[in-house]
Amino acid sequence: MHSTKHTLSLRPLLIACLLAAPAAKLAAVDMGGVAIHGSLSGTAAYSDKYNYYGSTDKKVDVIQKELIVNGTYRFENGLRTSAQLYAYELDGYQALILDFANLDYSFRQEFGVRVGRNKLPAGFYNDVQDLDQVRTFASLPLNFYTRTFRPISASDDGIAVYGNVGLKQAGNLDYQLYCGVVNPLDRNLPLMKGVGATKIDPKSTYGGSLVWNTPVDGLRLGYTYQELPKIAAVIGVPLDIDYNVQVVSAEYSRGKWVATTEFKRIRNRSFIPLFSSSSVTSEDEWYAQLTYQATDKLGFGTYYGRSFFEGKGVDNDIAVAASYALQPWWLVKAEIHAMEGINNLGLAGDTNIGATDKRWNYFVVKTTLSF
Amino acid sequence: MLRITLLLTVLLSFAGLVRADDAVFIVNPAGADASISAEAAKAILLGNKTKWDGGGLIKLAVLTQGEAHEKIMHDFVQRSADQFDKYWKKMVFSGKGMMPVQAASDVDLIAYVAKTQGAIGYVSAASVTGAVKVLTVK
Repeated sequence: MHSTKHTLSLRPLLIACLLAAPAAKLAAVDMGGVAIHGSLSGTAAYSDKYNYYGSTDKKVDVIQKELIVNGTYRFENGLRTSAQLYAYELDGYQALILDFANLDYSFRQEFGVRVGRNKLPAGFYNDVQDLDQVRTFASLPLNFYTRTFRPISASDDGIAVYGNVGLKQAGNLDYQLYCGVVNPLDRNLPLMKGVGATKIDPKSTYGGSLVWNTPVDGLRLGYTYQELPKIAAVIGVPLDIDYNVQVVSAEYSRGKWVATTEFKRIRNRSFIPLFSSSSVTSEDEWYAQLTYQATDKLGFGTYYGRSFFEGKGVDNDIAVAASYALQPWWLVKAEIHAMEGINNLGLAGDTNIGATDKRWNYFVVKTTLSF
Repeated sequence: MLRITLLLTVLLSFAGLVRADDAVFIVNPAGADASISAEAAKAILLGNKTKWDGGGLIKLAVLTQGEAHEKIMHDFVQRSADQFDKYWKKMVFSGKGMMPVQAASDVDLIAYVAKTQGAIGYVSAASVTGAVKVLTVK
């Protein structure tokens, strides 16, 4: 959607940032009251059997490079403006995206308005899916936060209202309601290749999120809903798709431990005008994750993820990860995935002709500089 | 009787002294509310409350380390210092907030609060100077 095919190589930009980061002492930069933050990441992966987000079949491939630059300014009247650029290369596809750019005004704790390009909630972590600094894993659970779906799920152009409502002894409630438009997907996106599409034009979206910060210290529960009605697509033949996603989330943090589980239900209602036929397909996905921040520098994590594809079977993913901060601004991560199932291979946009073996392994290393 | 009274007075005086590891909220003498609730303190620390009830912007400053930081995190936001730092990074990188001013020491934080109308922060009680006002948390 917001992806603009970037004809220039990102490499010079990434190298320039890599060189400039230590010079900037890797702290947030204040430019006349505008707080500038950012990060630069590189991810390499290897699989013993398949290509997955890159040419990883029996070889190490640098599958992803990311650069984030973020600026925020708050006026004396309380109006806040912020914007974020996201440049990335995933599986050979390069793009430079205006990730968000909005004006935000909080009238009171219970009610605020955000206008412009806004990040979308979908589960607890969708709106920070690119933010490596806040998690132990190199990536969010692969089955649940599918990287190739980012162009649909990351942000929209529209309006959001939000707030935090106190519930006295019952904790408090964060809410967000939004509606907006979503740009057509670039036909060169890995997702397009993965689903065999030559056109996906989502047009509009609406939805909302509720997060209950319960009176139990560290426990929060969430629900998000997103609808993308009447997506105009061409997947072999022209069709209209109503895309609906619901996510239920729970997170419990205690000391250095954080336990998370999320369940997602996706419903696709497709209508093919040519044949006047319609169908409904569904996917259910969930994961349970546990992380332990052993020291300021060292963290560990593990998760189990499971996807149910209607008529196609089940994919499982058991992952173990470690994260180490070489410096407060420099993270390195390594993780191992024991996979069972090959349905997610296609969604990642990778061609694995003749793939039948459902058991395979995937190894990932990632490093991130941040300021 | 006089000796008992003196003894009680001395004991009460010590009880009234602030322990060195106690943390207190401080505000700029101008532009802040006189007192806040614990819920409001939490809402301020998490960026949900951005204006004083009496009007004016809340300008939050936080410590990056130390016992006062750990204590405020534990007592008011029920998060570790690391989790609090990650919370604010999530806010900033999702376009939902502006990172609080970060101070490495009580001295730096007091200096910021003293010169900034509407500012609030927290320091070790033993560090408080006359340049700032201690905020009562009810």
